[in-house]
Amino acid sequence: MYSKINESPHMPSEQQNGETGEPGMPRWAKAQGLLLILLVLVVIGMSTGFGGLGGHGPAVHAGSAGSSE
Amino acid sequence: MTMTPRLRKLALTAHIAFSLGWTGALAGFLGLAVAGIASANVETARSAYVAMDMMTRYVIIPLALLSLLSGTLQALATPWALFRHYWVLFKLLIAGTATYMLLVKAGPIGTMARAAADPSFSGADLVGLRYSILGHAIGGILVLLWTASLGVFKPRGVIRRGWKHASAH
Repeated sequence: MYSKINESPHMPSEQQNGETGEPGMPRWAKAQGLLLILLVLVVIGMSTGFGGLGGHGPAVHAGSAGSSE
Repeated sequence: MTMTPRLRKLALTAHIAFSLGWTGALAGFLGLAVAGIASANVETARSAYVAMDMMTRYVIIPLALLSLLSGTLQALATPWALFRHYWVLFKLLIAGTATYMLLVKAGPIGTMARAAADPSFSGADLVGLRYSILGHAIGGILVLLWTASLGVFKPRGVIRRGWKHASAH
């Protein structure tokens, strides 16, 4: 699942470059992709004050946000 | 666009420093958020929220932007590329989302600081907003740990477009 530690851990190995294998979305990427989508939806929900989580979003604070100067 | 090894190490050092600085500053912010809620002393809560507002504007936001910028440059200027490996793309999207949320929350944090600075501020004021800020600080740290773990483990997985690009060379 995870890449092996090589001599230069900050640079991609040949296999990580995809030169030795067919690409496809790995399971970890699917799982974390779903988490990422969830995170984005939560952030959008909060920033628009939707879903009961608001009350603190930019729409609510439009008059006060950035007016502290 | 490629970097020399020396420049690459310098850029990587800067990116790690900015990213860890962001996480550390957010940890300090979390401590102040807890103090602002838990303290029975109004003066402690007042100073905590004023400090949190200053931390957000002068430390956390600049570090977040620098981390995002240095990470993007790092990806563009090395063989990792920005759209070749899932973990690099995910890091960018997660950090971008976290930065957006931070910019959105800067307004309410400023509102809280101004309310706390008011002489009539009491410990029972704006409880919902105070818990919201605390929750966002916890969520922010978890998200930054998520990006850090992606950077350390570098899980395999090549995006089709990146694979084609790599195969062509």
